[in-house]
Amino acid sequence: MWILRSSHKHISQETLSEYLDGRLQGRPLERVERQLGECDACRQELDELQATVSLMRQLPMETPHRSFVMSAPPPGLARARRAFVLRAPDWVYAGAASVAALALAITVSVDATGGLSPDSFRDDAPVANVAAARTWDQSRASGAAAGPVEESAVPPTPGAGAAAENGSDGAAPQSLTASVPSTAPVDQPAPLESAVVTPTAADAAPPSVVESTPPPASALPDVGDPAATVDGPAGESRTAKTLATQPPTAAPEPAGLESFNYADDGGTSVWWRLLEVMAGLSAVAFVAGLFLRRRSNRLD
Amino acid sequence: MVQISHTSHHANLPVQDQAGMTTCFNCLIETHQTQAYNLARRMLTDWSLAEDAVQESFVSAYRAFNRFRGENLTAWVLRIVANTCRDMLRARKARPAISLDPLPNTDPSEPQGPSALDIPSNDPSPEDQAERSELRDAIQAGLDTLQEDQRLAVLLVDVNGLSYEEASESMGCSLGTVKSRVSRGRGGLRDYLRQTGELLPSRFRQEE
Repeated sequence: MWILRSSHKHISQETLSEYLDGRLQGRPLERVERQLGECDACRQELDELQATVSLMRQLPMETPHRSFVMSAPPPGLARARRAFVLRAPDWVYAGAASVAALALAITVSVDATGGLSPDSFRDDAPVANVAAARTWDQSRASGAAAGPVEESAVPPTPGAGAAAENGSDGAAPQSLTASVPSTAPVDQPAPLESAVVTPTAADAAPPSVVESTPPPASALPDVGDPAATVDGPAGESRTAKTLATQPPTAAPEPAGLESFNYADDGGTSVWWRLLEVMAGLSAVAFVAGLFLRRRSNRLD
Repeated sequence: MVQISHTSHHANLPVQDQAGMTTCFNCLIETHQTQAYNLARRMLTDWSLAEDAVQESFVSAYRAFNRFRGENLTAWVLRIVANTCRDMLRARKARPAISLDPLPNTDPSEPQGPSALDIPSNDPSPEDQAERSELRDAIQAGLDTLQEDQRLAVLLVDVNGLSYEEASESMGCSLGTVKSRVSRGRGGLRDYLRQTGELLPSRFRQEE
């Protein structure tokens, strides 16, 4: 709306345009007419705009070269009916867009942090191997020697229950000590960390587990004490000490984790890739649907 | 024959069969094709493109005719034409190409017919014809310099004679936006005519 700020201010072009179209009434109209009588510049502006509008209105209405009257209904009339999906309310499109963006963001962020790489699953592997090795060394500490047992000769495949069972039987085969170094290079960091962090965890060992691993009786009450655990060579006693600091109750669980991770690594990646594809497809479908919907609305 | 007027009361008459629908819609075409063509002609400059745009617009309008719930049939038709012209302008910007068709007004061998210059005049002298053609070309050149929205607003109000409310419905914007666009479009065209005054007919130069 036109505002006359002071006496020397000119009338705005928009107000003059409205004045030309006869859309001003009442006091605005009176003010414009009074200003036009006082200001030559405003009057000249009005004259130029009026001449322009007059020329525009003198433009001839041309007759098209042909008639557009239809002799038959245009083909493809069935497409005029909007598809069911395109008749969905706006919040459906907004929700679909949010879900697609969220899924895409999660997938991309997990990808960026390396969550989908196979290396991320191997971080848990030392824990499982440590648990298996711990039972073997405990069986060695018992001092009972027996013949080789084939089940415990393959570290990853047997469950923790089988390993513990071998330990309780006191059967510490020679082949077990040979199998420990095969997993040792991978497990080097984890046992050292656990030796530093979890001295108290060994004190909190449940008594029921202590009963399941009977010998030696002197080492079990205080497994954190190096003097109590040293029965063999220096290297073996160190391994036995660090492994014994692990809570015995955690032994079955890491073994299960190990087999789960190695077994489901490829399957998990497939599911994540599927989620990526679904997120991408939903985003593309959303954009396409929105475009078609806009086109359809413009025809209404 | 069902007569379609500009009011929604007549436009929303139920049509029972396809043939009746076509007959009814042809009445709408006959009523609005000149306005639709001139709007497209001014928007696109090229008469051939304008005819294509009008043809496409009427097909679109036919398909959407049953869903028409507006108040003004003319504004609705011109809205479809304007949207079609916008799409064609965007396509032309994306793929600029020189038309192989001869320009209708520059080729003397082409029959001009009544559409070339329809200013009703009692003095059809060659000088007057040339002057009017010069005026028309100058205005069209000035319109081409305007922004798309401003050009459409000026055409709807000043050439097609729509009110601000009807133009608002055609353009799908508020009344204030229509006022602003009309004002700026007129101002821009005025500036162009002022700068290129030597190209204008003597009648307009004398007024200044």
